[in-house]
Amino acid sequence: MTALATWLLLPVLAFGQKAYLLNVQKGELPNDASAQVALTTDNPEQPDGITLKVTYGKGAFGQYNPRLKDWSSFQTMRFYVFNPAQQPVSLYLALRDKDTVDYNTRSDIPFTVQPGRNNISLPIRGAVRINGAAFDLSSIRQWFISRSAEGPDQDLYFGDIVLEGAPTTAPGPAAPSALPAPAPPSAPAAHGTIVLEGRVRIEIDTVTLQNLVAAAQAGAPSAPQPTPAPRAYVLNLAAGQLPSDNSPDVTVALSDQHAAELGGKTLRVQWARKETSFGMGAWGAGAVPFNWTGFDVLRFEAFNPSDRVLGCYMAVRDRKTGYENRADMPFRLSPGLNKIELPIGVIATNAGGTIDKANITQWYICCDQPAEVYFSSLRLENE
Amino acid sequence: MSLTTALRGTPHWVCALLVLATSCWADPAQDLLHEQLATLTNSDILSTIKVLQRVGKFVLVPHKEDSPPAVPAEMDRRAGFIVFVRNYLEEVYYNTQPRPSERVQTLAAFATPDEYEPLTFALCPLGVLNDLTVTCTDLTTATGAAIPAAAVDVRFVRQLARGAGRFLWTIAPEALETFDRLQLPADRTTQFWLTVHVPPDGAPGEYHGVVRISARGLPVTELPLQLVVLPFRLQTDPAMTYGWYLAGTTPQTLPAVLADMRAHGFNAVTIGEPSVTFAADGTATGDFSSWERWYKLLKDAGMTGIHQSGVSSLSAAVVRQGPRELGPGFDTLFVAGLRAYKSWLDAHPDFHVVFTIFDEPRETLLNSWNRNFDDTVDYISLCRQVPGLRISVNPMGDTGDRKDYTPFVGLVDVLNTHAWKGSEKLIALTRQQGKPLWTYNNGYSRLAWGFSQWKLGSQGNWQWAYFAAANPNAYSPIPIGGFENEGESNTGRGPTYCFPDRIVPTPRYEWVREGIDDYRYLYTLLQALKRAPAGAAAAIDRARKLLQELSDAVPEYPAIGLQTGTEAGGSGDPARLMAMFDHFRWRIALAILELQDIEAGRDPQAAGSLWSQFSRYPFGQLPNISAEAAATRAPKTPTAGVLAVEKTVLSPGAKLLYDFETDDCLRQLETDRAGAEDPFDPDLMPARCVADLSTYGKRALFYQPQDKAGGLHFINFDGDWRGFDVLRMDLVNPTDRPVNGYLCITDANVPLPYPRAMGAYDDRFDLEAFIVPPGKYTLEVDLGGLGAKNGRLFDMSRIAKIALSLDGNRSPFYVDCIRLEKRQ
Repeated sequence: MTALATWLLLPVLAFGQKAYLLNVQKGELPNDASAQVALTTDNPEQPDGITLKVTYGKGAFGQYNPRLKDWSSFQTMRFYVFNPAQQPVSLYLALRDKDTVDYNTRSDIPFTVQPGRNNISLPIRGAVRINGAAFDLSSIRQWFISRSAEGPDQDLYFGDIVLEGAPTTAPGPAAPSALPAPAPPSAPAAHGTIVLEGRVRIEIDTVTLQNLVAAAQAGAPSAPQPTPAPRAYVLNLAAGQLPSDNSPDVTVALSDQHAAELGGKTLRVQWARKETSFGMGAWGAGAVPFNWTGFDVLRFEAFNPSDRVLGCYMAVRDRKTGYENRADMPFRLSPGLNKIELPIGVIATNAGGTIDKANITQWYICCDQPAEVYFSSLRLENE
Repeated sequence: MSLTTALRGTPHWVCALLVLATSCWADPAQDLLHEQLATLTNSDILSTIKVLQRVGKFVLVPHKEDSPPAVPAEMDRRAGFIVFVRNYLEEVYYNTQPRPSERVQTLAAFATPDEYEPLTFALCPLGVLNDLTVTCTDLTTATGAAIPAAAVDVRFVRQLARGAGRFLWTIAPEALETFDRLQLPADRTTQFWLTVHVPPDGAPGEYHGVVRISARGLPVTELPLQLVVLPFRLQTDPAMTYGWYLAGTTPQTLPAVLADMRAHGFNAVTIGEPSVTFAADGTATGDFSSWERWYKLLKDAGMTGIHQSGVSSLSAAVVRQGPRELGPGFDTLFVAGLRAYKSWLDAHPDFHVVFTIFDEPRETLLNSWNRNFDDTVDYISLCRQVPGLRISVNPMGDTGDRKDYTPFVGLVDVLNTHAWKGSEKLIALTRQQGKPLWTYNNGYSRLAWGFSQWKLGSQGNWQWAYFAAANPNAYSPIPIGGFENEGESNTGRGPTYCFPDRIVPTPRYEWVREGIDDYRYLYTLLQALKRAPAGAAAAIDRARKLLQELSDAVPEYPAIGLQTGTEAGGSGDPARLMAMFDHFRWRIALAILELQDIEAGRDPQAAGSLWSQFSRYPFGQLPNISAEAAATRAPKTPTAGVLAVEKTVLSPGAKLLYDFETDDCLRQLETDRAGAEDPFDPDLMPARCVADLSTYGKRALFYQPQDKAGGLHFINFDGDWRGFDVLRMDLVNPTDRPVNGYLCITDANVPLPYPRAMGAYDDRFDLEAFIVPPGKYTLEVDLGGLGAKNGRLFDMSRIAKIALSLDGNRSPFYVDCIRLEKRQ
């Protein structure tokens, strides 16, 4: 924290280029909104300022056919957002270029909004499609910011949304620009990774960094630790988490059944059809670590109340793997209690590569037949 | 009035404008806006409007009333209001004052069985009217026939803030609302709208009834109502399609929406495509459940015209299988999908669908829903592999980016285009080839849907859009589901307002119905002419002369308006112009009766004939307009109301770029049109130096736009702007209403695709949101950090061009004293 606090006092790096996507201060509204959007002066953190209040139930907001279509000379999208709730909110920025035809061919950049003030800086340079193919930043047709998982209505207050170019080499005041700087300064994010020199040397990805900044600014009691903890949860049932990326024919619910065998709250999963799945995305509800490094085993227990052996697998994808070259880790569920350990020291993809454990974007568990199974929390641990 | 704005900081002029609106303009407009906002259940809309007002992006423009305040007669004072009758085609605003000829005390109309016919009147309250009720009695004939009061739908016209240009709203008559009792404040003119639905079996004859107007503490006022029901039914042209582009639907309200459309004469809508999936062997399977629902809904509603669907969803479904659009492997799957469509249609032969190949082909700046000519032709070729599949394209004009679109005519089954001069060749070719011609997006005028369709030889007219999604906040003046174009209005666009529990029509929807009825009157006459016996030569000749007279009055394209010569248009009196519609409709009705008499072996001139029985009614008369009245309504000159402007004093050290003192400045202007030979062509861009309304020196530049888009280009000025803080230019808006302005600046580093271009959109500075009030206005642009939208800073030593226009290059303006200054 000391190093982080010191870092926060560093001068803001100068940016060479800046362009408004959405000039909220001038009363500009998104032209593409399925979430409820409104201009307001009621942002509790900026009572006199104009902000865009977005009420996320379902839906998103952004721009269709934006005026500025060529983003290739910019590095980051930057904006202020205030979260009045006590819980973090997971969002993602979705980009569609001229060749985007579906979910797999768009590019998603997940991020988390902590309680309170957040200065978000998203690295758009190097964006890739969901399927891992190259993305064309020079032909943006649509962008939108969506909540990762549905839930109760949640208000967020957004400031101006700007694109910024590469930072200049010398720190100092912002370069002359046609556009005023957004009110809150933001953490710079040049190439997705920033190296901080000080009492400690840490390398963290940009999204995590902005979360650290946001947490510090919001006065959060503690920020995520840069070194891995001995245990982390992929799915923490004790905290009430539920998988959010499920097939339509899969039903999930928290349960007390088989709590004794599974060590507490259980997750009842009902697969109505074979080859369907439950799981979470990197855009999931905050429980999925972006970074699985430092762990070498994924453990959980499962109770199979039927008299059949079920064939299952856990699929894992990172930012560069598509559906075809994901990593599948098969396991079997015998009748009764099962203790599952999936080695994840190195996760090999189906195509022979390896999963980038620092950038897990999705996991899901698939079953080969209709079934009902009770799961414990899914844990990342070391041998 | 001199109002200035800075691009950064609070726009103080907005505050001034709002204060002006509050102090000088009528309060009734603000009251009506508040009443409108009070109907909303979504507080976010109110919050957004409040912010938009603060930043000058929601400005209420008053309606300007030309007529002087009406002087109440004794009978008006007793009644508590002035009642007047204005042609329903002309809008009645909150501050409308009756013309002398409109102060009549009777309502009269003619109609045919099963026809809907509007009758309207308006009240100018002399004081507050409490518990106002308006009711209508049964309508009866001397022979005992009756039309029950329930067949007369009585509504008042709610006035709502609706769009009057980007960021501008005006309170205007918008919504025909049912009511039990109203409270009307003094001086709020309010129109009442009665729609009589003559029963299908209604007996011909002269019906009489009474409209009773009652308010607490005031005597009841009775307006006699006369309705003449004609002895024939209007025929419907089976080849004619009247359709809506549907924008959103709510399943629960859709049956009511469709029934309402049918009652307004429509028989077609746009329907989405079925979803198609493909097996590994390329077999296409369609999920036609949505079409099954449409089939039943439309059939139940009697909507049996030719509906429009598309092929874009099918194309996307194929692309999701892997092939690139129109690339290798695409054709087989696409055609398989089309065959699935066709198979379903073959099984439903009474369900007629034409597939429009994407939307509005164009060669540049394509949206995801557009395709260029070549791709559209490729799609047509694929569609032609499925015999019997009916296809259409809808080019906006004869050419797109210089690409000739007339070959489309020979390739499709239905050609759909705008009814304007820009489609002259498409329209002519389609008629020449005997193919169905459709027109679209020609507006809500009675002319466009009726007489104009006949003149064009069109077999269909479509309009974007019917917003059919039920919405409790339908009266929101701003869009609530995304803001496609900044500053646009939610109100004033569609034919109705769809609430979860009711559909509220607009006056323009009723105009459209009357247009469609005009067409049916014409069609009925044309059918009667076909049946006319040889002995009816004189009547046939009279009918043909009438049709010729009508043809002469109807313009080639509906936007032009009726061509009625000095007897109407020259007088400048809208009442006389509007009366032309019923004038012709009544004469058509009489011509039908005459042919009916002859067909039945009766002498039309003899007593007892239909013609002699009905020709005695004085319908279709044109109001007499006195010269004095005509003069007061003559078209306003551009400088009406603006006689002089305050002179500008240059600040010390200012650099003057333009003062327009001599015609030499014309060499520093540029015509905004590719291919023009002369940099400044006064025929294309009529700007001239004039002595009027100069703000500096003795002359200013006056610009009268002629073409949509583009604007005035300033070139060859001193482009070294270094050392200055602000660009200022004086504009004079000579009209009586605020207009939206657009300014563009480029430097010499902007590549130009052709000499008169302003450069790529991202690579220039655009100011698209400033409102120029009537009179003098000084526009300011801060020069600090001036750059393009893509973030590139301009080379301030080489600024190259400035472009300027008002109201989408539709509004004239004066400009003077373009200068660079330092802030003091």
